[in-house]
Amino acid sequence: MSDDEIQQEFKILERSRRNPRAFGELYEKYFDRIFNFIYRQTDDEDLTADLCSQTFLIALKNLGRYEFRGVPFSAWLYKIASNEVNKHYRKAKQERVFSIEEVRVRELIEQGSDDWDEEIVQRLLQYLKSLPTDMLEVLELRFFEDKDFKEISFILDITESGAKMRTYRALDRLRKNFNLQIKYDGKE
Amino acid sequence: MSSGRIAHHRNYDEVLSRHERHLKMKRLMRILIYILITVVLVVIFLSFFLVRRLEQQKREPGNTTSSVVYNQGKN
Repeated sequence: MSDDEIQQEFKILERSRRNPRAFGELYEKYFDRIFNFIYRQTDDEDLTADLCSQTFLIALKNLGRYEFRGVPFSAWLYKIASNEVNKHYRKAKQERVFSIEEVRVRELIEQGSDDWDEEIVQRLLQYLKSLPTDMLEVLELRFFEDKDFKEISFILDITESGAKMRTYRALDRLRKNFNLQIKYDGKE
Repeated sequence: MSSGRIAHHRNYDEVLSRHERHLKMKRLMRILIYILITVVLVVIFLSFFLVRRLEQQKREPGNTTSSVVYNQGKN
């Protein structure tokens, strides 16, 4: 995000503290992204709609306490969304779900390798299903949500080095098993 | 998921009305708590005042009424 965009968001937040209706602008801006983020972790449309609504409600209630910590405002929304998803799974005592869109995985493979085929895609999808939750969380934020490590550490409440370690470990395995080189686009 | 399907779930008015309901409840709770604190303070003050009155009454013997009859030798 550019400095101008950050300033713009900051002004909207200040207005929202006085008038909650002004927060609607940020709601419209981030709704789709938060919805998809939650949907990937629930695979249930109605549940996602509830949790998404709850995320923005909590953000609205706590606007007075929000302060800039070197990460964009959206990272705070993702953090709330992540906590709401975790709360749901704790209450429901269900196993976590990660729904990875095949089309996004194909995009990633195309980035990293010129010679790939359908078999590799299917094997990769199977392999991703076997990864532990903490690795999938980081991969999802890094490659599907395009977050840098600082934001990932803020969202998941882990250290930046912890976020990097999980990512590199997962990528290392991918490199060894599938001969894939996933390019970074300079976001560190 | 397609943006069309996601847009179907977008409803800021609903979030806003839930937020306003929450604010109303918060205000109501605050008023109830203030009333409760006031009642408790009044009860404490009244009890203190009452206990002091009772202790004062016990200490002052002149408060009991007694009659003295003078016999002026009219036997």
